[in-house]
Amino acid sequence: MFALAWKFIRFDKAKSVGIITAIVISIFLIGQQVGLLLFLMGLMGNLVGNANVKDNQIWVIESQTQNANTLTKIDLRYVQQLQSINGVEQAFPVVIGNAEAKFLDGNTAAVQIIGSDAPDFVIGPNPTRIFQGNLSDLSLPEAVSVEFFNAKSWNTDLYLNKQIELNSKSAQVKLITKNAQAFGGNYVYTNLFNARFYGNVDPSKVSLIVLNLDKNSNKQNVINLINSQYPNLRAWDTKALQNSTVKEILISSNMGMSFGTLVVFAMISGFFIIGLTLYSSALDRVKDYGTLKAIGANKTYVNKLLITQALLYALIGFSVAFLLLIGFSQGVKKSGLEINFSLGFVSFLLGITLFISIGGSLFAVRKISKLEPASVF
Amino acid sequence: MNQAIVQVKNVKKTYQSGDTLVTALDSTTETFNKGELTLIMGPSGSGKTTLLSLVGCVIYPTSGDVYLKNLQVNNLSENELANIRLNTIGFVFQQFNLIEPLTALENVMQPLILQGVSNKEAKERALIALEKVNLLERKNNLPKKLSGGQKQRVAIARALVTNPEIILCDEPTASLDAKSGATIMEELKQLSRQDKAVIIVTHDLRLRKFADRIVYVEEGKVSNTISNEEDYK
Repeated sequence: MFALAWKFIRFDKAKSVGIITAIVISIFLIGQQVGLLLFLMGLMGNLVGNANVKDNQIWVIESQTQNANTLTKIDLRYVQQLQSINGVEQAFPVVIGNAEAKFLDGNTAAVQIIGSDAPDFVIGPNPTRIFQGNLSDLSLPEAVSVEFFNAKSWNTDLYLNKQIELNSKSAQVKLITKNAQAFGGNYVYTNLFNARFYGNVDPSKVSLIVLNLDKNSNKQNVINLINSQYPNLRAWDTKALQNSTVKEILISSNMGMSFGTLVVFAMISGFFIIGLTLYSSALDRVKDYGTLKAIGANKTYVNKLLITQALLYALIGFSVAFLLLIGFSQGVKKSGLEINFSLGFVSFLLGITLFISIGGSLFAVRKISKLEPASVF
Repeated sequence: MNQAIVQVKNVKKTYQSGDTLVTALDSTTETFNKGELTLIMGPSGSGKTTLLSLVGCVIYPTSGDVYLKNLQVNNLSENELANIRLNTIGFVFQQFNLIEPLTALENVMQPLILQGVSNKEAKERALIALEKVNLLERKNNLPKKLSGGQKQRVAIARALVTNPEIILCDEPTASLDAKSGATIMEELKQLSRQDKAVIIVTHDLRLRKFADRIVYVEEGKVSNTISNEEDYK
């Protein structure tokens, strides 16, 4: 069947090229937009993503906040109180403050200073995202990190030991992160003391408290306990807070709607372009399909022939679109936009390709299905 | 005496054309035998192709019965009819109807592939069929690279490759010159001598000399005599 379908495809070169081009354009656009959205969603949740998160860990923030990027400060004394809860092994205060970074060449940039205690640095950066320098160096006075991919947007060179100013206070780059970007901001990691100093944060306040739990304690029980006993606080599973943050931003910015609409329209247009071209191609070959029926092919065989052609178009179109997407991702990687071709993402794209190709072929299947073998006499 | 292979009994076929009910074939009873070359003759629009389609299990009669090897086929499903066409009947069409994307060899292999014969065996049998019609050297040509006569030979090879008991031909010489037409008719005549029922639809009166029996269809009615030869020109 594949050999016969391939001969039909090869014979009608102009239409085949048209169908494959439509698939390639649709899947490339969908892949590009979904890949970009997934990247941005990663950035939205990167406060959690960059942190040194452990399985048995809870993050505690102010009770009304749903978005980890807009934390309201809470009282420092909660650190001691939460430390005393049964099942909590250790409580780590985290401070996040805003600052203006100024470079020797006069360029400036708004940054978020994120600090947690050495040597754990629970809030990050995660060692997998360290490009240059040692995490332990952040414990030094004036030591801060910068993000490799910010060099372009800040229009300045970034290197270790570079002197910069944060809120007009002298600081030194001791660590360079890579792929630890923020959504709509720039993360600068340091220790807790430096974060208070550069971010002008009240010493009696913290932004969030990270709790490491005992091995034997039940995470959900501790979360429930904190949420019931501390009305001003809310304890989160880290993954849940990350998801909540992404959801909040997607809803408030309408990004989900915007990207979703584009993807749906690319799917619809692909579906109809492919469907109608396949239909037109089937009409061109209507005599061949009728002859097949007349000499003894049943309906199922002819339908299979059409669907197999659609399947082959899908596989060819998907392969070309995927190669283009890899090329695109390599091109934008240098500027820090990393499209992650996870198994789920690739499966999603393949599923969409099959849907628009095989779904589109149903117009032709319907037409040919009704074709009478007598029509060729 | 030749054995009956197809019988149509009181078959009638009508079509709805707008508000008008068109009778393509009116109450016809006819028997077609093995070892016989039967011509179905009639002017254009007389109903001869309708009769051929009924005999070929391609359409259902509006009323009446069609028997093929004593099996009543007008009650069978579309897929069952397709199976009968595949295994019992070979078709030769007026416009040859070779499948355009396939080579001559692949066209001849196609009925065998539909029957579920392995690719290797189908190829061997198709090559033998092409050799019989003297077209082995053109086996890899697409239909567009073949002349009318060559296309018709491929179509005959395709019709014969499954060794069917019935061969139905719709105007097999209409697209051919006189010499090629005569050659094709001689070959079909030879086939009828191999205990096959060869049924040919034509309006070409010159083919009468090849026939063992002639059925005339005029205005949807069957007779054994011709009313007016002028209608056939």
